[in-house]
Amino acid sequence: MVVKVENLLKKYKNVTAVNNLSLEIKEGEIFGILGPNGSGKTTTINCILSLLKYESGNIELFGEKMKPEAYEIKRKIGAVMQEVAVFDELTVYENIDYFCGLYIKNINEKKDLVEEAMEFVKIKDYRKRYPKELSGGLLRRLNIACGISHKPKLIIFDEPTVGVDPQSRNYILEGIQKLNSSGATIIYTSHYMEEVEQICTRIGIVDKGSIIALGSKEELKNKLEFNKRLIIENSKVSEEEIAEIQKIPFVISAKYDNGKIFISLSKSDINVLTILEYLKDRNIEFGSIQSEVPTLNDVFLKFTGKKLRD
Amino acid sequence: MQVFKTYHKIIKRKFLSIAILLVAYLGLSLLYSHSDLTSDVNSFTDIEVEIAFLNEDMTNENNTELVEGMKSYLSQHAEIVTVVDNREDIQNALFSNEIQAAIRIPYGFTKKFFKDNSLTIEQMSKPDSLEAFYVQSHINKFLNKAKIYASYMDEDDQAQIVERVKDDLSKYINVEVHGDSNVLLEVTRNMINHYNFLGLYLLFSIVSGVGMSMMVFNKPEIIKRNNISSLSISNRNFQLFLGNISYVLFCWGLGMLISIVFFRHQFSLPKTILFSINALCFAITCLSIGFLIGKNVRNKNTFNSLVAIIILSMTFIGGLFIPLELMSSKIIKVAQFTPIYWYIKANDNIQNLDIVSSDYLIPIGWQILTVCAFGIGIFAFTFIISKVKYSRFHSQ
Repeated sequence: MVVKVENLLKKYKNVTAVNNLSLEIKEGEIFGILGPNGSGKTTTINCILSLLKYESGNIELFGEKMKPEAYEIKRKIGAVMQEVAVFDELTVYENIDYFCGLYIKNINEKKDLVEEAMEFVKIKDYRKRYPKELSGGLLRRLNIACGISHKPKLIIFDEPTVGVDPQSRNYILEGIQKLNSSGATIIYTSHYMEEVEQICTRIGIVDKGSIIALGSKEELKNKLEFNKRLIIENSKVSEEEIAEIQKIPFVISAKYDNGKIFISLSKSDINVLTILEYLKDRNIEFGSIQSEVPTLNDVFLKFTGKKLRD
Repeated sequence: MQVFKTYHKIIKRKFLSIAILLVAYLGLSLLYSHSDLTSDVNSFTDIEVEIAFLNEDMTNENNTELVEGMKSYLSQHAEIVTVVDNREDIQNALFSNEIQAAIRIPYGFTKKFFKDNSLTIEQMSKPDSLEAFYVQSHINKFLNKAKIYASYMDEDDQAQIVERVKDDLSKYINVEVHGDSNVLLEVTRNMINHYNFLGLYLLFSIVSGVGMSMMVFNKPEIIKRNNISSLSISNRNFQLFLGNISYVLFCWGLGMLISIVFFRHQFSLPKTILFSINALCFAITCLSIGFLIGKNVRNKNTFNSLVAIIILSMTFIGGLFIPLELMSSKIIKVAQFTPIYWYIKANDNIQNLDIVSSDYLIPIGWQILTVCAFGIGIFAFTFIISKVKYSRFHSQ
């Protein structure tokens, strides 16, 4: 087990930020911590990294208790935090060299690792530039290079894509997958469910400091009662007709809202045609038909009663 | 030594902004060093004053021997100008600066002088004229001596008395001071001004340099990343300490080198050593100030404003621009709470140090220790604040 957190409790005066949170992360995983802003993701990460004291609980990394002075454990960890943490006074190369040098003593080894890190985030052409001369996306890449240059076994990404353009975001996500395939275990926190869904092998959904659901994305979605949602454009439909649609087998729910019929189905392939036939038989006119698979937002909605971005 | 190397890289990058102001301050320092701020007079030059000498005390249309002797003595120190003996013409000559004083010897002066009856010599001059006072002092000098000889040399006639007086006044005594090994070479006011302004240079370069670098290393996100790393906090702090100390030694060394080169002709080893120790202690106190600001200020503009306020207020109150002697006692009381006051005071005492002895060295030692005490106090205060902040950072 790379990370083992047991009953972590962290309070800020009277506010409980992390409430008896427990999780285990195995080697080679990309573990996503998904939750809205203020749900306790960053606090959990800061506790794991021993940047914060916590009230109770136990944190073990690589089978050993994590403490502020556990420098041997820290040697195996890399972190890319939400805020860009680089020196404005140093060039791209010098920044990576500084942070790599905090872990690696051998000059030649360090030099090679810095070059590798620059190559990895494709920032070599900017090696002599200062951070102020870089775009937001390049700055994020530099931030990542500074966190991973020493080739850590466990890399923590705390919302690394906040304020990043779509192109750089994809770049970062692909990079994280590459790091994972090269052997690093990843913890990835975000409030963007699409990102977590895209790259994480296992996900913990966090709300109010607790993990409310844990598993692979398929496992989480299986916790939902439906596996497809139909959205049918329609000018008008009566309440009786909606009630009749609800009676069709495998239809879990149906509702009419703002010119659209929303139907949740438990077995999708069979009953799309049944529904369309029903509409045709009743001469109910319809326009476009959209089919949606459930998202993590639906999972979050099921467990908390609110949307992820509410 | 990753942190140490980076510290110096940051100092180098910041050095341009420090260097621009540094040149300005060094220029100011040199300017002040070569302009005498005090009224110390190290040489004397006899001035020649234009005077009118009007004599009414004549015998057979000739000056009496006493008056003639006085006139002859005065002519050695003043230029005697001929003016028309008319009140209006004399006043015009005074107004147009043709003469600075007019002396009138009244009728019967010589006779009354030897009979011990006082008769005043009339003198006309501009009000509060320094030159008139100067002429008056020469007249007094001559007449006082003449009076002494007249009183005690009864057998001498007027001519002999005048001769004795002239002989007395023409004598000069050459004094030669033999050097003792403990007597130190006197340093000029220029040199002491330079060492005082060295304080401004140290204050500016060290507070700005150390403060700016510490501010960079104390950015919360950089602290966070450093704390995540496998480099221990104590190792990191030790490297920062080495960085700060090496920068302070560089600034101090540069300042001392400039001082020694500029004043190589007045080089006195004991005094230079004392000036150096005082400057080094002050440099370390500057380090503590820079450390305090750099550790607690986050914003660059706030930092620059704070540094300007601290440096200017300290130097003005501390007696760098205005000599301490000219300050009111209240301001001096306030100034005593600034390290630069003690630094300047120690410099002044080192300047006045003539003999190497404990009587002279102990007060200087106390003043240098007071400068150090400021540094220690500020360091202690900074560490207390850091400790409080560290525990807050970990619990929040």
